[in-house]
Amino acid sequence: MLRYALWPKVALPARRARRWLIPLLAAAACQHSGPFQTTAQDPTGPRSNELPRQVTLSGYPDLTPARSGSGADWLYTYTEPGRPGIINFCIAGMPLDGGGRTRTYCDVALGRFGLTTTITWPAESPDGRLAYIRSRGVPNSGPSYSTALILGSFAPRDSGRILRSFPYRSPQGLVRSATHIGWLNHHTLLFVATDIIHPGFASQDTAEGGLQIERLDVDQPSGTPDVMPGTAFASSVEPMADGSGFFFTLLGDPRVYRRKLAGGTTDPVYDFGGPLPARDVRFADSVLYAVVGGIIQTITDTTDTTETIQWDFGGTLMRVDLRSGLADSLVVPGLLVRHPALSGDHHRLLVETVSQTKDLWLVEAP
Amino acid sequence: MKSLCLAAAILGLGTSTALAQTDGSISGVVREAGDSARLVAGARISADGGRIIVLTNAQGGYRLRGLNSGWHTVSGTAIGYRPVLRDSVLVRDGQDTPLNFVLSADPVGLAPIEVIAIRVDSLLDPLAPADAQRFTGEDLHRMPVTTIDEALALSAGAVGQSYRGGRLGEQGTVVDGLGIKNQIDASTGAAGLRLPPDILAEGSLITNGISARYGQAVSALVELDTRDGTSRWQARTRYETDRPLGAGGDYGLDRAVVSVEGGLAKGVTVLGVADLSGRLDADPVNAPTPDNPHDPRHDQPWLLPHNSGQQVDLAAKLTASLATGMTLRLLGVHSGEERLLYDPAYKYDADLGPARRVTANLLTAHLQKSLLRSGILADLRVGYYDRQFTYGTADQDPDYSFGAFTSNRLHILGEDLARRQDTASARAPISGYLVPSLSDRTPWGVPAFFMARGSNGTLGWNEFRELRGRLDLSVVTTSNSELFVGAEYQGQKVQTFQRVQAWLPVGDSVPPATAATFHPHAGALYAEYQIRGRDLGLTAGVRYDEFRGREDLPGQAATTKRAVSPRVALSTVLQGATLVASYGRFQQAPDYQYLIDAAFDDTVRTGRFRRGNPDLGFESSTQYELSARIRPKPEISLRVNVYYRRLLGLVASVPLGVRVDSSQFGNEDFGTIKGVEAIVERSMKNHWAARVSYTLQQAQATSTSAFLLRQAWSVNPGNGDTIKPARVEFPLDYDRSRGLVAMVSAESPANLGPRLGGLRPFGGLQGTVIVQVSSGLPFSKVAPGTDSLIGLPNDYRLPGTQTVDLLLRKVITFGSARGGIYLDVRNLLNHRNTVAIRRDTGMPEALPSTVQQMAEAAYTAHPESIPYESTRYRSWADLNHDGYLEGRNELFPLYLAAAQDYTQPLFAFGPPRLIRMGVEFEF
Repeated sequence: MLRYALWPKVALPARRARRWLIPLLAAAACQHSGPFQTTAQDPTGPRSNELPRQVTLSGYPDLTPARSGSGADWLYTYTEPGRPGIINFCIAGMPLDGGGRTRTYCDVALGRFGLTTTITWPAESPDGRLAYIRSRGVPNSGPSYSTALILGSFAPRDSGRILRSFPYRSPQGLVRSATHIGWLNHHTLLFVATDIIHPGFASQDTAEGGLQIERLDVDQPSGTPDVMPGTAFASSVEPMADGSGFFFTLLGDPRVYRRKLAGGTTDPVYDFGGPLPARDVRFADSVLYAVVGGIIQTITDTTDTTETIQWDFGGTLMRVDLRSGLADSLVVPGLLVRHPALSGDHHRLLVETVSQTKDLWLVEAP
Repeated sequence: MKSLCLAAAILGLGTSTALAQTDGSISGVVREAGDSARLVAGARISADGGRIIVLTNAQGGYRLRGLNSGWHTVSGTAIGYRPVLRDSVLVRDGQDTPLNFVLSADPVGLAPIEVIAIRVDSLLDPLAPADAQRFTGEDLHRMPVTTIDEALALSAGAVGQSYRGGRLGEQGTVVDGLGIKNQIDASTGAAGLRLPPDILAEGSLITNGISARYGQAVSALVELDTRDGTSRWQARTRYETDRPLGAGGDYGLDRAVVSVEGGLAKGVTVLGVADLSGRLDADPVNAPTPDNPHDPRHDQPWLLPHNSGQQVDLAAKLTASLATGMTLRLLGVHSGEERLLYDPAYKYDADLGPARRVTANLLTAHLQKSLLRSGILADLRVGYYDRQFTYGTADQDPDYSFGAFTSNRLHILGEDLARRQDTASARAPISGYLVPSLSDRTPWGVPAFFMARGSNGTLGWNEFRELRGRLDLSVVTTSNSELFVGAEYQGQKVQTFQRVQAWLPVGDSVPPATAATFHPHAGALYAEYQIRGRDLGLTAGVRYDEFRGREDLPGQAATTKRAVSPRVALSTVLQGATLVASYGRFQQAPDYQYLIDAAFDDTVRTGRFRRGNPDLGFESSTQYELSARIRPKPEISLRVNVYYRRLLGLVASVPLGVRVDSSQFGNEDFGTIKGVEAIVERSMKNHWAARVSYTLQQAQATSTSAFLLRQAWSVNPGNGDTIKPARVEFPLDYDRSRGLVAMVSAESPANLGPRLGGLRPFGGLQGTVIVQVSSGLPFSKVAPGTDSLIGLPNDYRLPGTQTVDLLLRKVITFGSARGGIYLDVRNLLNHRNTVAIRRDTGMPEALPSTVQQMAEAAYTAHPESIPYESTRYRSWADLNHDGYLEGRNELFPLYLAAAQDYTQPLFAFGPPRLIRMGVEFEF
């Protein structure tokens, strides 16, 4: 704060008139003090330096981690308890080392009516556009009544634009949702179109598995996705960094494939072998990551067609250096993992663990 | 002499005639110099270079009428006599300035004799039945006030904009002879139009003896006259701020005023004023600093967030002499106010908090014609007034470019839809409105009390437009009597829109949006006669008013309401004192908001809905007043007014049937106001002047607000007997039983004291101190946790209030320019005035047990633990550092702190010490 000059103590004949301006200008140049801040609290930092380490402690599920558009933080779905019986799933940002949420996006508009809103699979473009899946429904009562692929942002009042509503008919069956959303390029999203089955007592469980990989131009008004050939019953997809193609995995298949868009060719990149399929593929700097093994259940959807989907209860996170062919596992002690996200510097992964509370763990990628 | 007049003006001294209160007059006789003192008939008396001209009658008498308040030049000429020019004759509204001429024979045609100033004192004039409390634009300049409303509030009997205990909106406002009124919601909202003080010639508050010329008021008349521009080009600029005061004294104030005036052509002048002000905290409070160091007000207790505002007031006036005796005046005023409205529930997520915008425009044309031969003065006035009010959620925080001034217009979510009155589209959630959720940005983290993501979801809009015209004729019937007749017509348009919980679709729990459009109209006729004797004046008038409200409701067509209002004033001089007895009946159409259904949410007991009544009639009052005026010394005057006013037919909520929620507005309220006012004034002498006013009054009615439910007559279903409600009157909300306002003004001669460095630091100093001491206003008390009244409504009183305001100015001249620096301090002693309380405790603060209960309830609702990654996690509250806030030990203190924060009283306290520094130039 610039302190005020003294008032002039001498007479002000015409030739000194300019001195009058001094206090005026000095006063105008001062900055006003401001009211107390109402911005968000500074987020807390990591609780420890050990790796792997648990970075979410909430007693509710933390799901679908992803790298943010800038690479400066993580995105993930967290659970926001609302009024009794209502649980909403929202999106948050988290520091790369873990810690308090840096930003959040919630849609609780329908909580008043006893409905829950679930926002999952965030995919943020470098310019801040946020794609995600939004489902609305009655808590614990089976199918959502409204599910859509949305393009929005973290702005609180941005309820987003519906890119594609579900369900819709596809060659493999009825597409009810999508997973593994990623940006192929500035205006194209890539995702696994999925079917959802609600098995179990009173249909309270939710099993979701891929039908095929689809591509959607977000600038296209019709919102009609293209089905990627040769990706029937895909279980995961990872766009290539240069946008020229993508890596993917298939139901029941231990191999990871690469498809180049230019030539339309598909090649296996790596075969993890064994009886259980690979899924949740990630790739950077010639290093391939995937979840392998663990617990898989296949379920047939009898409500519409008879397609089979893969219900994933987690596995082991594997790392393969394609240059050397060496593979190793990145273990979270005592826990199966799924849905890993790779940091922008490719040194860390954030994984979803399959446990009672479904917390996120940070794993080092040596 | 001139300074004496000016000082008198500063202190607001003056009384007035009842007649033609919007104008003043000059009258007198013209005599021949010498022993004969012969009366000169046919002499030509002209004002302001011939703008108004009259000829003296056979008795040498004349009367110049239709003169605006302010200084005038008057000349007297007759063939064979040397002209006499009187400069600086002060004329005040409703006042007759005596001015005699003595003409010397001049066979050779010498230059006119010029007399500079004329002293005015009509305190004892029996022709002044009205008791007007006045101030001029120059007064405002010398007093620690910023607006005309602030100056009016210094009048005896005024509490803010309530006059003599009445409800808000019971006063009429007249600008240059043309009434303006926010007829939609004057009782709950301001007119929205603010005249910049720099264009004001004179303002006055008239509480008795109101001329039959004016209606639309039951408690007082606020009369504002703008000044004409001068023929010489000149300008005045002023900038004031509190920036230099830094933390603790800086409330983000900036104000800039620019006025320019001058002559465009012969007989044509123009005056323009721009008055801009911005505040980062537009409503600062002197609330105690909270003890909890985590409370952000603990370290920064002065500024409240999301409470900024800016005002833009523009005015321009063009005055043209079209011909001898004919003058045209065009006035345009624009006022705009944008406010962010602090809401404790949203203080930690204020981005989408509530906001309000009020704009108003006034355009008037005034054609004045003096018919020299017939002695008729005709005034034709036409005016257009509109006011637009929008309340809702701001779509973004203002882009502060300089202080609180913004470069972008505040945009309120859904205002386009509201303006279209699109109730069909408004059935869906309104775009941009979000369901509020419990904030995670609070210092306490826990989900309790404080909300986020949006405001309360209310979207309100209304617009009032009025085209008004009036013709006033003033006829000199005999040498000592005058007749005033006139007619007025108002064509109006009312549009409203309201939607609540705009983030939800209309449904079971969300009422549909309401909208109304209708075209009321009103008219009036009046006649008033004044006759004056040597020590006696009689004014008798009658006014006829009618209005027709809503006509847009099928099957509920309003009938035309008519009312006749007689007004009489008799004044006489007895043993050096002037006594005035006045009687008047006053009528006003009700707020049009009461013609429309109202849904609100004030209490669970009295319901949340009032059915509009399209057939409401006039609200009225009858007043009897006795005034005495005396001047014990030339510089000292004393006025005492005793009054009794009966209120009748004020709008109240009355039940329909047996359902508590079923009620309707009706003309059911009545009440009584009685009191005494004493005003002592000392005009400037020996460099100081003073004014002290004291008010003792009692204002009561059966309902303190139109929205409060009042029992009306009902029929016992068992025996058919009519049951009358008890005729119990309670103190009105603005019943300030005792009030004292003391104002002392002093100035030092320009050459006082030693000269230091070419400047006399003690010379040219001006200062005014205003001390206000008042008893507290009434309030109702309820049982804790309920809304059941303890005792009668308004049975309790707030503590008294007191403030000391100060303005110090150092006038400095340099070359041909003049300027000054000034220091304006409000609430100099930083007294913490309690202006509101909690109805359950009778104190500003909540009871500790109440806070405890709130915390318990909030904790019970959300006992869940908070993990460290949550935005609600506060590491300082994690006592065992396990990464969780969990259990009562860790969570409950946070809920308790949140409850204490939420209940801390802020607006229970008046403003703190506010200091502003200013620099001004005139050139």
